[in-house]
Amino acid sequence: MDRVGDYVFLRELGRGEHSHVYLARTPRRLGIATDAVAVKVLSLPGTDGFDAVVDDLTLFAGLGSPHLLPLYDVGTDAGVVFYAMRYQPLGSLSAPAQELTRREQLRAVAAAARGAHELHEAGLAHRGIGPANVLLDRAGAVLAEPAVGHLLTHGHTLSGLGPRAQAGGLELVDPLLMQGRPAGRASDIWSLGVTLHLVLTGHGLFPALVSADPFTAVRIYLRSHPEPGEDLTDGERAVVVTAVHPDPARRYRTAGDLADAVEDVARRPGG
Amino acid sequence: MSGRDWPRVLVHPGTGVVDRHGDTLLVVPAVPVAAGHRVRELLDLCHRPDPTGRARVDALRALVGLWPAAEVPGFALLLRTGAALRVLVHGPVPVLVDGRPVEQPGGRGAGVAEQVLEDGAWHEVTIAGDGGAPPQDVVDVLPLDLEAGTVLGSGATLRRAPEGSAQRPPAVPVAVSAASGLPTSTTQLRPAVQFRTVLLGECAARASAGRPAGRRRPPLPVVGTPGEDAAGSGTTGPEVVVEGVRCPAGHFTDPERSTCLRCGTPLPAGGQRVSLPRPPLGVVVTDGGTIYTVTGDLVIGREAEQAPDVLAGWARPLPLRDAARSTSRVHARLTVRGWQVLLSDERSANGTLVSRSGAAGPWLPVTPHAPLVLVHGDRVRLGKRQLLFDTWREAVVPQAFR
Repeated sequence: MDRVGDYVFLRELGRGEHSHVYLARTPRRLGIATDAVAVKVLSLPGTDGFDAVVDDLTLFAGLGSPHLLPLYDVGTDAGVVFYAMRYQPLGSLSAPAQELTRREQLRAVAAAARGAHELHEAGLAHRGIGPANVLLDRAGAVLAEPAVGHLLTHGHTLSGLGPRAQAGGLELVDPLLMQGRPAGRASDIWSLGVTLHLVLTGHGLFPALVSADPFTAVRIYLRSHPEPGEDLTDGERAVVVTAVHPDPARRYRTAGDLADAVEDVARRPGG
Repeated sequence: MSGRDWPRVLVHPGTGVVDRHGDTLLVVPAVPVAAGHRVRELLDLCHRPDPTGRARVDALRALVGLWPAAEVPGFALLLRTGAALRVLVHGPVPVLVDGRPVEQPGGRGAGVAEQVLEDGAWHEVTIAGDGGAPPQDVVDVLPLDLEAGTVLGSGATLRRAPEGSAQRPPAVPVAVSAASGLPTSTTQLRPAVQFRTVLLGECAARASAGRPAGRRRPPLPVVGTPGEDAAGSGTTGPEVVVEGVRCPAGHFTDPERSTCLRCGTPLPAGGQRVSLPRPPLGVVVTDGGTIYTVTGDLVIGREAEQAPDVLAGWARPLPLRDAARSTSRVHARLTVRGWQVLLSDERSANGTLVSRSGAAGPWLPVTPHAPLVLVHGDRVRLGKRQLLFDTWREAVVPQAFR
């Protein structure tokens, strides 16, 4: 693929389970003073849910929050949905352009939690928080756009481990969603807790998920609880345990509370 | 789509295939022996009823992605939709619009590239095979035009002719052309690309000279507050009220079972029955790693999205495809009745089998007339694909979370 709409691609930046992200030349019509933008092209067929996607992304972009990634436009071309956003050359928590200190990692997760809180206050659940969606910049980090795949697929797929994804990615989805609980603050707080653990330890909360096939991974996931790693400080462990508590009523009440707790840990000596 | 909406179709001689049917024109310039059955499938796809063309294009992209690359011949499919012509190309098949090669936005790789040509923006489209177009003298004299059917050929030329004339208008300089009301050089040589976008954030604010406002929504409820369970739904499906009992742990469950579906706790005899919304009854996991929560009926198959019950909104699709097309278009169905999840075969070509002993089997056939009640851990085989049906058992909460 070398273009979509009037975006001419310069190179591929990455790919997800249902999307590709490209660096593209900025069309003049956007009226912004930047040469290049990132464009995400969804590989889900069909555009029946396009209006719902526009609603969610309009709300997200309209918040104008310093903790949320700026979006420029959303469109359809030849049966696919795409949207343009600010290019973040410093990468993400899953692939930072340069090594981060532990304090920088903590502050990045706190910034993402602030962004999630603003989103929740505006009435929107993110559904896709993970290290790859916490994007780094000189001021710290921003939370990328919310997941929209569920708006485009009739089947309301909960999650795909996908041929390119690893079974370990399953742990970013709150297991309560599989039991029918709707996405909301608690499920995003779960994802923020898992993200924090992944970033600080380099491994997941469900060690048995590693290298499991999809059937085994789901069976393990539905029958086990998170096991925070030994390589966390007491403060970090307390935050993770509270964020991923099996009882959602015992998690942080809001993502803002989680952000406060993470920032508190980051301020401590050695944090 | 009536034949009058099409321009004249001149077939280039050759040993490939040119097919015109309704709103489509398919050109396969060369048919390698190994690709014969794929061409047959392409023809079947073109002839499928689909008023908007969207389903056929989606199916075409999916099929090309699934077929082994060595078996997929290069082809061009022209699809007439409204006042435009969609040009879909796979492989190294040259397409020329008014004599100029078309830039293919999707490249010439393994996928399907697409261009949309609006009426009035072109005069002649040529899908160039090796055979070349019929000599101009012959074309000018004989009313060659493929109106319908499948013929041998290596390419085709679509040519718009002035009303009442079968002949091509004489070549004219661009200035004269524009003055006479024909498309300008720009519109002739640069096919229109149809896309639409909605500006967001600062771009929208700049365009509207004000701050963009998304539709306001109430804040998401905090856990434990009223309405919290209903927030942001999208995975739970329509609500169905059923009769059940509460287990000692408080889960609403099937009253006919001896243990709770959710946590496995034994149910006391004679528990008070209550009517409440039915919770999800489990998950279905595909061998490709996609997870579906079972909240209602699911249609399973290669083209589950096109099943009548799915189109009518009575069931959700669970698409299941493979390169060998071992699954039928509509292969099987999961029906949720009360607290039971029933599996039935939909007269599939390769059958539906269930194993209660893991992948090793034994695999027992499921028939269309006798739906099988699925239980926790069942594996389902449909052609060469497999599914797992699973419910949940709450694990013992570790010390760290108490």
